[in-house]
Amino acid sequence: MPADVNIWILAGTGFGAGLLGSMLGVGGGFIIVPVLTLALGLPIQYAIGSSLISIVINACTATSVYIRCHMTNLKLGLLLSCALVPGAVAGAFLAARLSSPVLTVIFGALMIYVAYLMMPKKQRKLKPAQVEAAGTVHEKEHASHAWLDGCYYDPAVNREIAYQVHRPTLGLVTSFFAGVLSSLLGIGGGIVNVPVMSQFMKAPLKATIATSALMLAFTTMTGAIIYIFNGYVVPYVVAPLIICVFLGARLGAALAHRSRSALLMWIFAFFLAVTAVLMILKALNLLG
Amino acid sequence: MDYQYDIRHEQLHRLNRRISLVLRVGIAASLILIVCGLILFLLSSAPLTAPLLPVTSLIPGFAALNPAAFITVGVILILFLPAAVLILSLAYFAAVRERQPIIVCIVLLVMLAASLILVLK
Repeated sequence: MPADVNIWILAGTGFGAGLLGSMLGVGGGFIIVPVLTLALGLPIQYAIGSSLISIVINACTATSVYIRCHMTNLKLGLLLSCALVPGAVAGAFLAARLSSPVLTVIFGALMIYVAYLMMPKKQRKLKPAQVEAAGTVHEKEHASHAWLDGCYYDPAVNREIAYQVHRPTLGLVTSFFAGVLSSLLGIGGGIVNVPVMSQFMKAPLKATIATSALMLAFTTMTGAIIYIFNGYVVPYVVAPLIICVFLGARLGAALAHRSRSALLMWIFAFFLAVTAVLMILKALNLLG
Repeated sequence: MDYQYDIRHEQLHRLNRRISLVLRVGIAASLILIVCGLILFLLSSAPLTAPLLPVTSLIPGFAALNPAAFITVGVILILFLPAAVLILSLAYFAAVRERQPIIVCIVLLVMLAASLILVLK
């Protein structure tokens, strides 16, 4: 354990992780862990412990902003967390038994495809009769889970966005596997939560980012407590990190609230593709 | 949009505002403690390379103005904020008698407690 660390690198890392993490509904651990281990020379357990606490403060800060603007779908977040939390525990147990490089490459390729799906594209126009028929079928199926619907005011388009949540059962199943994968591959849950909610459940991107932030708080809380119990959190690393993550998260959440969804989609798709490529390169030992 | 729908959304918006308030107050309290810890560290140049303090050492640590005690309490406060959100949501949904969210909150609370016990064993 190094006796001192470069406070400026620590502050910059925390701010960057908070900004990007809260803007995209991801934790920010993908920035913190590599910097703490590679640039500051901290042992990996200490880096992960500090990163988990940073994710909790990031998620809580982002949620405090998003939920006040009603962007967070509280009921949906709570429901999906019910599958995500046991998934993360199952993944942590599986991690000790499974060899992950092949899985990482497969999942990386899948993430590149999801990044392609998430890129904003022109909607195919349906004929009015097709729209009406689809609507009637959907309304019948939708009645049972209408309690998950949400609405929020979007300042970027200056109007209220009301939306319905589709296929909650599929969302629960994919959330469980998202939890398993996040523990198994050491990636944050947000990178899976956001595509699941936006692509499978058809929730608007801003609502999915805000809801993902809430879910991250629940899933990382347990892990952070375990690392503290095992003595892998040191005050002089975690204290400046928390303060800077908080500042970055406040700014990131405010920017995401005002940004256009299409811009956020481009940023998220780019970030997803870069993370996927890095994961594949690391699994194939091509990163050095 | 019917009248019942409007009432349900207004109730949910009220809960959202309360959760936001709890989170903001919790984060502010935690940051104040952490900043106090950092100031004490700079003033006393006490060693901070040790892990966070165990719960039993917190009160003596506070009395001795130990910087690590302030930072430890700040960190613990942050970690309990998600649980506070869950308990507040459960209490609110119980008060307005919304069956599905009550079940979801109880299941999640049990899952979190069970996963913590399982992993700490």
